[in-house]
Amino acid sequence: MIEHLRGLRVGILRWGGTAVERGLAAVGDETPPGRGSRACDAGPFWPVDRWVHALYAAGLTAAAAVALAINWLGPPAVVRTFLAVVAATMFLLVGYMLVRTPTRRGQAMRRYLTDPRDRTEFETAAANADRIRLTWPALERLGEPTDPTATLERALWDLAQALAERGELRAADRDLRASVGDPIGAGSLFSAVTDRQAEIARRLTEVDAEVRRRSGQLRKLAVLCQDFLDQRAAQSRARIRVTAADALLGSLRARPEPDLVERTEVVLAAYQELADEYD
Amino acid sequence: MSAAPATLVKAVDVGARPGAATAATHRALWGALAAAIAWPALSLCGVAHAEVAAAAVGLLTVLPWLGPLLGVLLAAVLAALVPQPYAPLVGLAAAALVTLAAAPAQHPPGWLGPLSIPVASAAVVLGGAVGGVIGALAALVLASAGVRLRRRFRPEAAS
Repeated sequence: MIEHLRGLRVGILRWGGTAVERGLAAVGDETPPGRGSRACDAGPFWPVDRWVHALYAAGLTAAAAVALAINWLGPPAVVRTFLAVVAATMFLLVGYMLVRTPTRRGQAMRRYLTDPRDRTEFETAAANADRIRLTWPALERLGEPTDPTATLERALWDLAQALAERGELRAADRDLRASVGDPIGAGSLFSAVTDRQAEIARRLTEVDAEVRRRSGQLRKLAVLCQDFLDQRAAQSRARIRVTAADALLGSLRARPEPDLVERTEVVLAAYQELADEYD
Repeated sequence: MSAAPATLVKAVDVGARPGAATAATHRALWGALAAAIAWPALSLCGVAHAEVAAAAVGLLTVLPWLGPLLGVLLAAVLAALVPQPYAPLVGLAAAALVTLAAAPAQHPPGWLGPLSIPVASAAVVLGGAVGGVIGALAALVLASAGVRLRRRFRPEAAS
């Protein structure tokens, strides 16, 4: 059980999740490769469609290159078919080996978080955790511990457990509501059903509050880290501008005023004085 | 006789929002269709290595954003560069033909299911090596329809 949970945890938590890996996980959500896994037509599909198309294009380019090479060789029909079957088998095997690890995360999440709303909420929390992990080194000595990955993983795993519990409680609540509508009479069984329904509703409220609190804490910390980074960036921008202003002020020099006006004024006044004397 | 209690039913249209793999599979089929149209058009124009050029047109069409436009432009440029008197007109005609492929590809039929990347690549290799560009298109269509059929009859089965 512990090993199962550990594998599930590794699958659910985002280990080095890049856009390419998330793209493959989105494909894996819709096209599960193994037997016995349920196809899921209803997301969540992360905003990775461009990467999905690019990944398909990469696979199809390799396939087209191999097919063109076989055609270029021009072997007899039997040999060509044999080569085509071998190449297709190789593409299947190698392709599934390459996409197996990223798709495992999608499968694990689909199996553990059955409600799409819960998966969306977990994705949001995981994105916040990523933001925290990325901005944490900028906190330097202010951030304790130095590497928050283990703490964040623990927080995400606890949130995943709460979300899974909430999904189970919702399902149980739905079932009990259905039983209330069924013709089960008004005896002790009905009382038991309504009692359990009330208990489930109470527990659901508690878990709902826990989920909100846990995801809210991650969101708040992510916002705090981002605000700190923004403040530091604004401060360094202001320092650069102050330095530039100092340099500008230091480079300013006093320019001599032109004495043409004053001199002309004196000459004209003297001329006016002489002219007045002769008149 | 009392009336049966009314039951509220919430209708959920599962097929309303295609997933990432369905969208990409439809795009791959669009690319294969563009390649299948570009191949005879480029061959008739006298473009050298028409099959390779058609494959390039199809692969460009798979790409998001400017992919289809680049595919059409490639077909037009290749046809226009052929040394013959009506080369610009021929290039325009080839581009128009490849563009026309986009019209049916925008709304593919619902019986084409999502293919994973390995399955789509394997189908293209198998079909392309045996039957060229047309074979690749046929293999993609068959594999996609097969996946949809398998899901319909065995919902728990994978692709």
